[in-house]
Amino acid sequence: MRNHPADKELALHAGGELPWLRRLAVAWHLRSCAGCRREIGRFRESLEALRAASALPPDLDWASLAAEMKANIHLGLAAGELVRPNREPDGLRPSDWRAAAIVTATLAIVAVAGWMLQRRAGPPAPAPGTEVVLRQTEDGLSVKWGRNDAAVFGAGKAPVAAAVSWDGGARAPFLDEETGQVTIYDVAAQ
Amino acid sequence: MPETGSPGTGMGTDTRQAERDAFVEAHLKRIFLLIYRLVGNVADAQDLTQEAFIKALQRQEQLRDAEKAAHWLSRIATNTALDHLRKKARRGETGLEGMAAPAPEEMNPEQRVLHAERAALLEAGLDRLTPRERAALVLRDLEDLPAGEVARRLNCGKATVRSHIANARVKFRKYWDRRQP
Repeated sequence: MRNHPADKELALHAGGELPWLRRLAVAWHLRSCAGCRREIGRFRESLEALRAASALPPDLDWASLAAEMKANIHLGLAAGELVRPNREPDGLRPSDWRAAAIVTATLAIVAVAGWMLQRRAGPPAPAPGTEVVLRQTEDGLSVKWGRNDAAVFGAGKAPVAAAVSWDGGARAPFLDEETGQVTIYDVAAQ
Repeated sequence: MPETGSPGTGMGTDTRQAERDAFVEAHLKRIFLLIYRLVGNVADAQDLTQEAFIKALQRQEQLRDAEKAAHWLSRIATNTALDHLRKKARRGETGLEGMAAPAPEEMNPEQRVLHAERAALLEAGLDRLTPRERAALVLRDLEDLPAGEVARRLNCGKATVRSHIANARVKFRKYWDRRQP
């Protein structure tokens, strides 16, 4: 190796962290370079000094300090227990989901069953004496529903068609042959 | 010591308390020394050690496996100290303001000088590093962890951690060189 390794490479070599190929190259260089060997030595010295300085201070009363820290840790934990909110975690628990699913399924069953029953039963049968009667008269089309008076519409004309609904309403379109105009009468029972 | 469990837990609370005490006893000195090396002064190291233990013990269920618990506690301690160093760096404080605990009266003058010099060396030398460089140097060269483990602790890649270690050693060596006669 003609060039000297960079400072950072020497620093890593001093601690043995260089990848093996670079380590070999640097080691080869160090065999013939006293300057770089001195540099490596300086790195190791500085780290030894750091290790020596990083021991606990000799005047430190460890027993007292440890006792104080233990007491503070206990106090900190106790305080944490006191202020920790006593609530369930956010979101639904599995049991909540189960309950919600049961309620939803029940509502769905009730709704479907109600709809099917309504379809099967059809429109309610009119009570005796409340049938709807639709008649073609001279005055026009008359509707009589139970005790209600007859309603007459489309005077003097015959309807194209006539329909009576289950609740007593009637619907009939009339055609004016002269003008071709269609008039639809829609009578609702009350 | 205040009771920390619910009143109905009886023996469970006692057992938990005993486990906590044993855990603190087993790791207190190691964690204090780690944090002291990271922050460089006794007062901060004391506060941060307490904080790290409280954080760990509030999730006591993660401390069942002794080996994993020790590792996990070290990570909490490292992160707690790193957070402190970052805040300190943002505030622009230098470590010299809060150096090691004052030497007690019973030390002789030579011991006092040596103690002060060592504390100053550690603190002023490490203060030249960024928090991550400092953590990498302490974990690798003082805690003797392999570079891969340092990378895991600092949550970065191995190449990055090597770069932090190299930068830290170069900066610290320059500082050390200037101090030499």
